[in-house]
Amino acid sequence: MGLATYVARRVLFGFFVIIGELLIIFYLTNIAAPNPAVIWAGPESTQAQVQLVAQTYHLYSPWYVQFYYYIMNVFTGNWGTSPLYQQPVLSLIEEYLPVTLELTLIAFVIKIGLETVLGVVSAMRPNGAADSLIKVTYTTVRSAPPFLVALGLLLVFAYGTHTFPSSQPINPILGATVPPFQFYNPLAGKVTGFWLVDNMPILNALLVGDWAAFSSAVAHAVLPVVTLVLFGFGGIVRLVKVSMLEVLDQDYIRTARAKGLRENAVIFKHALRNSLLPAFTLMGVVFAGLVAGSLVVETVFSYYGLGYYVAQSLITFDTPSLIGSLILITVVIILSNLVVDIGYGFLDPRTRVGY
Amino acid sequence: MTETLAVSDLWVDYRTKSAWASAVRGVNLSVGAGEVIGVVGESGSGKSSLALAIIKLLPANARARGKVDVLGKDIVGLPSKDAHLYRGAGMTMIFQEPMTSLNPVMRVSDQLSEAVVSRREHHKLEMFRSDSVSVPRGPDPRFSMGPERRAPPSKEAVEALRQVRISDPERTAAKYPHELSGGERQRVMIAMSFLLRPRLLVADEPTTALDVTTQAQVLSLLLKLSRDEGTSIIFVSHDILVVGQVAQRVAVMYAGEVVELGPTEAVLHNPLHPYTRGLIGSIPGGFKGEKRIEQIPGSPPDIMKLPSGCKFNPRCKFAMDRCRVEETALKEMEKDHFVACHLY
Amino acid sequence: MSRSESSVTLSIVFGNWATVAGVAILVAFLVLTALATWPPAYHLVARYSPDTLNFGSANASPSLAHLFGTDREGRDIFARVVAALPIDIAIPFEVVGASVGIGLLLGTFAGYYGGWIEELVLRVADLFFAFPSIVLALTIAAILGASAEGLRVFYSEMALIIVGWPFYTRLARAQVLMIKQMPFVRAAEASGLGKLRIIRTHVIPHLASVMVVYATLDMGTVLLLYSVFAFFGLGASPPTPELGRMVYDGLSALPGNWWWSFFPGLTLMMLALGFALAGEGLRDVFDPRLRGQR
Repeated sequence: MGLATYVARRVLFGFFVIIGELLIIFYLTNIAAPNPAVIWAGPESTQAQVQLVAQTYHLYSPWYVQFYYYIMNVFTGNWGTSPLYQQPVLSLIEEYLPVTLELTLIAFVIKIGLETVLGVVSAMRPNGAADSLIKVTYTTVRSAPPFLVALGLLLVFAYGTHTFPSSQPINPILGATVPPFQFYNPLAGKVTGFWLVDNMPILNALLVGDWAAFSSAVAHAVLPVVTLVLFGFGGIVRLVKVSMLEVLDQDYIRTARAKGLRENAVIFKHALRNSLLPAFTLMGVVFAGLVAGSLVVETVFSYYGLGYYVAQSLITFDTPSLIGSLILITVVIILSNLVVDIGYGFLDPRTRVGY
Repeated sequence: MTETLAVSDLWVDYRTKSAWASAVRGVNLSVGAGEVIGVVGESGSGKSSLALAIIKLLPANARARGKVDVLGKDIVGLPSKDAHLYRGAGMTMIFQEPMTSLNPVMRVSDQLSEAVVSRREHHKLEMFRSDSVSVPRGPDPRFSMGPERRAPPSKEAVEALRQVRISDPERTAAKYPHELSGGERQRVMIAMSFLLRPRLLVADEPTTALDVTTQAQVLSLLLKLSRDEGTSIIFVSHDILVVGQVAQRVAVMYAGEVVELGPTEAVLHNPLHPYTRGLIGSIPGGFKGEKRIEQIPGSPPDIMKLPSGCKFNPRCKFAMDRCRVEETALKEMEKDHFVACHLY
Repeated sequence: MSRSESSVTLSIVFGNWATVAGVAILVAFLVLTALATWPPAYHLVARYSPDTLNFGSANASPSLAHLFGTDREGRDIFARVVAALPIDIAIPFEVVGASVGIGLLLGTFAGYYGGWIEELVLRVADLFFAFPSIVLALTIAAILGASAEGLRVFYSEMALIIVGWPFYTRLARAQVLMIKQMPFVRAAEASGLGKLRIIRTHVIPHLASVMVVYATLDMGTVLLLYSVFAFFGLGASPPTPELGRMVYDGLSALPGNWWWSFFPGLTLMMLALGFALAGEGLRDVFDPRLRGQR
């Protein structure tokens, strides 16, 4: 199976995943719910608004007609209007998604790096002092609900020592003055911005060279990132440790030692890569977890990203926003899983037989 | 000159729930330069523990006591971080299971090149002085994970693969272990030894997992290594016939002790210890003519519950009262032929 | 189980202080909850009613009178935490219980009968594994709960079960495939026992221990997940106290009144820790491969 076929198959599977999700949602909103129009219009809506929504979504037609329009709307980018913000859902997502993407990616890199190192350290001396300390730490941290960790950091480092700001992705004054990054787009044939980059506070400030805005954005991201890193902390540590211990027992490690390699070379050249393989398969799950964690983290820190937006939509029962965000998050997760799977093929030659 | 290996009063203990259990019990063994010595015993006789202790690769729950002099230096007390100085060009090991003894995520050539680098580094040490080796330095593959590993396999690696008679060595060098057969992998392991040119090679059941024709090839390659490079080989096996084909001397182990030691000819044709006789008797077809297969009654003892006296006495048909109380020691019966048995 | 085996088991359970701590935490919470839900004993636990407004002592910081302080309306936070415990402790049992039940049913049949049943069950489970499960569950709970304030707890539980069953289905199937190959099942088949009977008498009992271990480990996770649902208002409707919701409400009183959010959050953490420690202890007993490895 070639790489292209593989990717095509995965994309097709991703398509089915989204269809499956849409089916569940459609069943709940349009069939199971006693009054679908209220769900789509929001609980606070007036009679006239409900009427209007019922018309737009063809809610008086048979269910298959409703389903046709529902699916067509999703795939033509007509994701409805948020009753809360009174804006098209798609434009809201365009504004909020990059903020969260940036935050979660930073947290992801730090989390993976930190947990891997701790896993290796634990495996070097199982049940030693370092291992025990690490184990106690992550067992405790894992059991803390995400908002408690956020709260603790907020109380100590924002309200207590005033080391870091307590809310927002960037100082609003700096955020208003920093220009969007623009570049020459050969496809459009002119200089334009790109929403995905321009709405990432740290990256955009870096690209346009606005250092005040950059440092402000970084400072605002510190506490949310730390919270995300600590969210579900220890899963990778445990996995890396167990697989490292398993790998160190393997014959090929004895071969490497028998060859006269130094202990460092044995660990880092032979053992580490093999022991990271099982952990690597979980990268997609870890990233998905961070995106979910951003809901709580962004709410506590008023970090205006997709997580904050989804959280507000949950609290106000803003159905169009929820469904739009859910589809988009699903797409992001599917893509990240695809990247992980292709990357795995490069790490483990045994799975590379096909391509 | 000093012997390549001199083991004296070596004990290997494993930690169990309540106490330490000894798998190797006071073994003395010396191996001269270029000598091939066979170590024979059933599983659980301590032969593998002896092999691992010699190369200082015992698992974490085991400890060695006594002396293991490699090239005149004791390695038992050596901190494990310095053990790598003795391994490689000093001594190396080939394992039983060829399917798992190569790193699955590294190309064959990279694993072979490591041997070249390891040998070169050993040359900086006084004790491993010999002719110079030239190692062309390519890009360091150590920190790369992707296609840049596809640098052409080094000349030495290909040459070593040719030496172990692998067909199309260039292509094999560029492969990953899972693309090779068991026999090919074991030959890669031997190619590694050819590159290291070690003074001592410990081969733990290197042919057990292979089919008969491949076995013969691997054995002849090991002998070639010994002949060409003057490498001493400790050949560990449960199969006294295989050992007989390669070894100049044979040590028979039982319950962690060497019970018989002597020139291969003498041990095979004139076995003294009842256990050795049993081993030879249990070979199908009979080694000495058309006798029917003789089984050794009973099973190897549990190292946690060893009998007193001679450890073989519960299974020995010649056992006397003395055997149940008095420990045995090696006695020289003929020239260089030792046995530990109260019959003599 | 022989005598020496059971003493080994006991020594592992009690030799490990972490397991003891986990069990102790859970027992303490259960006792506290039992006392609080039995009206005559309530005052042994808390001095105030969870719903009594007292603006005179609003935003009071933790003291002997108000162990965890009071909220903006002067309600005693300790009393509200205690009153919230029944829901928060019951939910992991209900959600995990239902998920295990569904998983056991589907997984056992898929694994034992194979064929298209297995294919279908596995594909659907795969689909669910590809969903961003937490966000999906929150969305489902919000859609269902939008117009049904009184049923939000129920809908949240349903949403958690919807994303929870695939894991247990896969686990059960994998275990069944293993058990199917074991000699005693082979022997039962050879002696002509019916498939259903074999599943009931041989397969399910063997599955049970593994399922219990994972279920216990999962309890803490579900507890924390549900607290996030409550945090976003998808739990019991006010004025019924909910730990997660109290944390959310308390955020609006920061930085002055920190105890309003902090103590409910801490309570959740202690409960989750109890489940986690007890679960890992159980795993050590039932899965010797992992003993001492963590």
